[in-house]
Amino acid sequence: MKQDTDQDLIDKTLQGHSHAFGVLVERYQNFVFTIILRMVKQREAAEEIAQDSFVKAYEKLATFEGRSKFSSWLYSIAYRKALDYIKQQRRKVAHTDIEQLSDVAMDGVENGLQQLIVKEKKELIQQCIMQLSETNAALLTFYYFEDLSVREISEITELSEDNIKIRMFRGRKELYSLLAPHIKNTDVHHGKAI
Amino acid sequence: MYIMEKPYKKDEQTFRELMQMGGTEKPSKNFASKVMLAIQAEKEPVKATPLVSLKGWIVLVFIFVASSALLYYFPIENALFSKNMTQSFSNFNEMMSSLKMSKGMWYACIFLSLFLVQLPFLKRFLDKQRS
Repeated sequence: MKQDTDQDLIDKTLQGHSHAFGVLVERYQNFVFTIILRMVKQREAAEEIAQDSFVKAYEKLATFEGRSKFSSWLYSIAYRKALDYIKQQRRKVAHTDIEQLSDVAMDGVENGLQQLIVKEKKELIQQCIMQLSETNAALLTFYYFEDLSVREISEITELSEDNIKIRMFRGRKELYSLLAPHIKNTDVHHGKAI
Repeated sequence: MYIMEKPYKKDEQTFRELMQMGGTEKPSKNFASKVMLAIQAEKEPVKATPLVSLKGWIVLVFIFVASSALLYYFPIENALFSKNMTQSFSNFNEMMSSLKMSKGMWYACIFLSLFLVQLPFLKRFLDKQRS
């Protein structure tokens, strides 16, 4: 059976079939929740913000003009909601300063990761992403996980493309330096897996 | 400079794989139904409640009728302190007429009142922006 496109579901929702919006919620709930969680760092708050984001998207659905993808439009709502929450809380999420890792050391992190079992790897990466600064975590997730272009990310976050590139570069370094101490069997500084 | 360096394709690919490995997080099981319930609640029309309740109106009408009746049966001329009250009103009028204000003071008063008139509009504008 052919799956409804986002636009089909939007049209149905606007015609009054609110259950069609439920399908959109199911479709995007994981990614929206992930982005918000990686920004606000608290599950309960993230779930509440994700819920508010979907409700707002529903309320404003008639204003969605289809110039961008529905997913990008939805992510921009979620991103802004998460930023608003962070501003409200005035909580500065502590994040580790970027250590200047050499390219050799980065290779060491990658080699070390290969030796961990999949579940451990996943948990470790998730933990480290959670320690990134809120914007960098969101940008890296948009770019490397959701495969969005820098231009699309710029539309979502309202940051300039250059700013995004700089932040992503810093984010990558930050993530590598967070991963490095967790890899026991690897001599990160020499780039060798023991 | 680091920023000017074009990241190697291999590094990019490795980093992408690393991020993909991190996967997505999942909200609670009934998240979607919670969202739909919240949407349903938003859709339900809010029942308009009058600013003054029926009881309030009854009390107001009673006070109005009672004070009208009191004024009819006990006119103000006969009321206690009525002479003093008329006296104090005329004193107030005299005081106001003798009051002289500089131009600057007048302008200040006008601008202050203009500002006060704008307040509700500003509030409405900000509320709209926030929503």
